[in-house]
Amino acid sequence: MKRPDRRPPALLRRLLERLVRREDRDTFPAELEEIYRDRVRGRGAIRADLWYLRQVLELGARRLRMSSGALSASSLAGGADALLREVRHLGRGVVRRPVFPAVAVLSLAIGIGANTAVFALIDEVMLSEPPVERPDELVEVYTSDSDGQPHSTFSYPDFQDVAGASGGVFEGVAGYELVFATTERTGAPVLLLGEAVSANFFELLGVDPARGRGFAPGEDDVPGEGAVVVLSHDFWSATLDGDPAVVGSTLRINRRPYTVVGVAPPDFEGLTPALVPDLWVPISMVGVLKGERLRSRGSRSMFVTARLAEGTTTEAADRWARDFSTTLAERHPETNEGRTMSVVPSEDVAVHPAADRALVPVAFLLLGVVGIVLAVTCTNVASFLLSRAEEGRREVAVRRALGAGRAGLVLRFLLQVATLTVAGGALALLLARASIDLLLRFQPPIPLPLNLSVELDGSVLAFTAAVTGVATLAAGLVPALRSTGGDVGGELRRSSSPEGTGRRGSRLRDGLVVSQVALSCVLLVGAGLFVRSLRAAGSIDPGFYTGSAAVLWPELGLSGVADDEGPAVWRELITALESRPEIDGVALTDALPLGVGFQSTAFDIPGHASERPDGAISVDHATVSASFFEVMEVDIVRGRLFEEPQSGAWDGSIVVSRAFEERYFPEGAMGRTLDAGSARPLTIVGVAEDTKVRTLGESPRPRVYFPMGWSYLDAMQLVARGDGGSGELLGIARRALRDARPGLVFLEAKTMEEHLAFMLFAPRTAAFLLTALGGVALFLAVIGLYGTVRYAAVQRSREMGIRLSLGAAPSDVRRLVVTGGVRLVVAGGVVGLAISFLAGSLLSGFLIGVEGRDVVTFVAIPGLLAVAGLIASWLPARRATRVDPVEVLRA
Amino acid sequence: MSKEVLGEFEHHVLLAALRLDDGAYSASIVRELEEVTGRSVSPAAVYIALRRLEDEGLARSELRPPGDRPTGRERRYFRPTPDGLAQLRTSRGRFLGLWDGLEPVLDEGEGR
Repeated sequence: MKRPDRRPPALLRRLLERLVRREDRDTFPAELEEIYRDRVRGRGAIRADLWYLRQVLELGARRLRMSSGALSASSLAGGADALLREVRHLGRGVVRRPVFPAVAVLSLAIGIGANTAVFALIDEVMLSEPPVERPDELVEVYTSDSDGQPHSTFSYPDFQDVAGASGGVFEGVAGYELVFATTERTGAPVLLLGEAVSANFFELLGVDPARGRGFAPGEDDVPGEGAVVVLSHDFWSATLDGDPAVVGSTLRINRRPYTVVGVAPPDFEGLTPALVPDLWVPISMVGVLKGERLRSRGSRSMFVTARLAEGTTTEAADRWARDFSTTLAERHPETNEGRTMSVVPSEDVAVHPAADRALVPVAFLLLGVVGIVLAVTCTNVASFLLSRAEEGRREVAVRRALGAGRAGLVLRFLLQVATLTVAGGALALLLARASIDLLLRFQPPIPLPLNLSVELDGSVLAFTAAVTGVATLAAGLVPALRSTGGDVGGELRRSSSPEGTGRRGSRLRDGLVVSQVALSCVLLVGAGLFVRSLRAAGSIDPGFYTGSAAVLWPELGLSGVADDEGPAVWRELITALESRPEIDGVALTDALPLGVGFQSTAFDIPGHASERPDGAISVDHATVSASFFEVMEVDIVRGRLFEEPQSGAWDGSIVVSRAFEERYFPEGAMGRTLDAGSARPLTIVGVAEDTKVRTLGESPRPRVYFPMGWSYLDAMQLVARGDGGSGELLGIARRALRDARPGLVFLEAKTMEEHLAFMLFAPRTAAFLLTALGGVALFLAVIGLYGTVRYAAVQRSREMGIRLSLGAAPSDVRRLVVTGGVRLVVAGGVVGLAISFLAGSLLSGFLIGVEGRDVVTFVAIPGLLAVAGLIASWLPARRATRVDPVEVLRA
Repeated sequence: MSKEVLGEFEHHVLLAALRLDDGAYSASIVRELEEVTGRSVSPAAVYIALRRLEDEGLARSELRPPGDRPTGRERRYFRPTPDGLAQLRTSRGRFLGLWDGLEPVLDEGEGR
């Protein structure tokens, strides 16, 4: 019996069959096998198999070259071929009916883009890590402050003690604090942000300078010595023009020469998000820069970061820190009593634990809002896809009858959807970039330069791709399943007129419109609440003068004024301003209310005690000139004003706010004494009217006013009020001060309106964002509603035709259509209001002067929706009545 | 491949098909080419060339069982079309024209 001929490997045979034309599948492979058998006989089986493999590969390569070049070949199984065809088919469809794809891509771009922008911001501020070595090993060390706030800053002596004693738990400990510095480049001093750091700062973090070096050990040992500086890459390349000879050159900082020893790498921007230092100096220079005593254990402004020793956990380090706090408290009870140190992983801190607590809810709110916008967008696209799917049911049924699998058809549909979402996603990146740039232009009015470099980097792109994928499924899956489901035979038999399509489709579309309206309603209610909150905030009386005035903040230390000259210089500056005819009054304070930050000190108040170990109570305070109360229109309701002590002879007189009196001395505060840890007891000589201190929404807050001159302050805010515009006043005041004292450095110079804008920045931004996004959502919902109502009207055109021919008035037909639309809006509005009602309490924390379930908003928004719904339904209604009954009946 | 110029390989394939008369299918063309030119030929290349020739209208094919086995498996047999023949004549003319008068050089090279 003849042995059966050897055949080529089955896998290769099947592959070959795919690579030849369909009509050749029965012939060429067999012919090739003939030659294969020749080769088996001539060269052996293995060589024949190899030869066969080469043939298959060659055929594949040639097929690929063929199809990419000439498109004349009819398509075989080449995947790229089929894809190309699909895209061209889609392109033809788009050219024929461009409106829908254009609107869909645009609305997807907005929906995806909003999510991308928010994510990029959150990523930069809260998620991104500074470019340091092994960031998972770094921890932040905090000490609690006199208010009991657990995450506060260190003093230099405490830092040194911790650095010295922590060898078992920390590989190294570094400290840093922000300083203001001035350099003179072209005469006028320029204010810069700097950081004074321990000598091991760069080394501990593993940051390699781009040029030169970091700081050497011991360069921070002696206070006042170590005048070296490391520049930031930006400062070096922008301000110093990238001077290649920078290392070793001299830079004058605060009128002292510093030697430049290095330039930081381009991507290192310090450890605090958004605050980018221009330079770094050793911590020993802080005393020189800030005029403070570095050795004071009670002066706390250092941040401390440490690297965990090998094998040490954060919990172990935290335990050690708490134990060590007790040791320090025993050694230095007057400064460290009751203060506890704690350790937090650096990765868990975005900006600062206290700030994070405020930022995290905001982040979630933002994500929620843009998530809703995306949902509205996808719903919109989905409902239009559904109508397209209805139209294509016949074609799908034919394909299925010819053997196409449902999964393949669903994939094909999703592919079409994907071209929309991917186009939208690409456009979204552009929109996100533009809107982020726009947003970052609105800097909150604070004296620190916020520097956020938000990049659309890998993680943002990945996020956008994921959102695009979600959008594809969200918008496309249901229409895909609907269009490919159902009974094939029934589909083919069904008539092809629009009425032949099922009622199931319309119910689904109605549901989509209702959800769109509901989601838009939620966003709009939020917008309404924030707008009302903004208006309420704007109309709250802060309790002090808010009219036309200039606010300037000179820093005498940075301006080269020695401490003993200071008081005279202040008087000089005040005189310079008062001598201007345009200026009616000048007030000084070290803490203008509703500004950035606040200050409070612990007071011993007889008859009252707090939970602190020393029983002292923390109260807000400010140092003010005697003119403050008159200029700022804060009435003295009882007693008298203090007199500004001249040349240090202060009698301890203070003024307190009404809230202070009501809380601590309800029977009358006049003449009562308190202690604040200073040498002399304080006597209350007057009670002032309350003002808002920290926020616009607060209830009356106790406050203590010290007279200017009780202790020297080298930085104070000057308020110069007058009749002219604030801008004018600002220019006049600035010139007057510079004339009096050239080289005067200002931390800030702004109008009163700008000062107040700080408080309003957050509610203003929120109102703006929500209104914009809510408007977009409403617009999309209106389009969706219009489409659905029109589609329904077209479906019922036969019915309308009959009604009209039977004598119905056009207005009856119109009413029919409009009612259908309004019903959907009402349903959506009810759902939306219900959700808003439930979520209302969540928003209350963000609102000022308005409840989360504000009645006015809950009535106004449905009104707005009703109007929108009527408009969206009216237009198709009019078209419906223009139907020619004869035409419709004939069809 | 434009209609103007036949590539060398397509040339050979078409000629081989002409030589094989009624019996030209991919495997027989491969064998013919290998025999006459003395080089090994890739059946995949032959197949692609045949399909191209047919697309360009220079050859045509038909499915039929082999002449000696009427009940056997069908093969696709190719023959040149009149257009294809015209192309071959043109090419041949060009070739011979260029070769004209060069025989002495060639003969000399062969050491005759």
